[in-house]
Amino acid sequence: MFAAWQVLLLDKPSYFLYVVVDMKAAASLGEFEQVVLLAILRLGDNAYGVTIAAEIAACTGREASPGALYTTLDRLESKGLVLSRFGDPTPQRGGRAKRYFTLNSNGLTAITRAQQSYRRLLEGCKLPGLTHA
Amino acid sequence: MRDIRIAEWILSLVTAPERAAATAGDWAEQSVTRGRVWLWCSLSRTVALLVWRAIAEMPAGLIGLIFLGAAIEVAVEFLFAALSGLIFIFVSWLHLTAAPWSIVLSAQPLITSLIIGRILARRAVGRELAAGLVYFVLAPIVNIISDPPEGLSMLAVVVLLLADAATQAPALAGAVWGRRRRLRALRA
Repeated sequence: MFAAWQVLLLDKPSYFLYVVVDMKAAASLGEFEQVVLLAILRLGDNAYGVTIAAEIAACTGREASPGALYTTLDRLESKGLVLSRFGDPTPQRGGRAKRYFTLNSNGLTAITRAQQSYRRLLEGCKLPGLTHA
Repeated sequence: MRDIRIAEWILSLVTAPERAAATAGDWAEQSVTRGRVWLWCSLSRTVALLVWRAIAEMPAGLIGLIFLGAAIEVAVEFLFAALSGLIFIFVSWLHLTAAPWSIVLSAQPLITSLIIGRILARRAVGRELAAGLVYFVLAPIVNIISDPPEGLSMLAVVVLLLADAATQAPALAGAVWGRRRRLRALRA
């Protein structure tokens, strides 16, 4: 996260430094990126374009446009938050392979932090229909 | 299936071929229930977003390439002007208004654009179409700014821009040519 010498030099302000670094990591995830990461997490080994879009639609009621979905998946991969692998070609796809996505440890950390910051923001808020707020 | 093949071909111009194939496979699954309109809308949005991303990731580099393209265009125009002069002086039978030379002069901007698109594609690895598209859009604007027409109405300037854009259109073909060539080299 940050070098040990920074902690030694900044003994007391290191907490502040930690918070800033933490917030920066969480802020680097957009709202749709979080939705996509959570959908991949829910789907486990079966996360590819079609199932991710279906999961997002089922959980959020929101139709993810293919353009936004595929560019987001590419962006998450280039940020080093997800890994992709190609499956076997199938006849119903015209002999084309599926591209499966999984979260790596960076992705898991990023989504956990982003959700923690949402939870902190929700603490003490009273939202209609949300019992845990 | 023909639509999916075309969609995959177009996608492979803006993303890695294996990714294009996987995305086209996803669309093949979905287009059975969603139809052709959905497929083409998805394709156009995805291509637009991928091209935009390619531009946004390297704006300064692409602008630099536009200036390189403009410099090549100017150099070729000078070369043709010199060639026209030499022909006028030494080749008496081939007058500048003669049909063969008129055809060469008319084709020159189109061929130059095609070659510029090809050169830009070679330099913008992985962003070939983005480079061609940026050149196609910006080159006419650069031309107008560098040689502003005087005494023309706004409408005439717009028509001039569109006419110039039409002559730059082969740059897109050149970019596609460069991209396909690179993909063939990768496969080989």
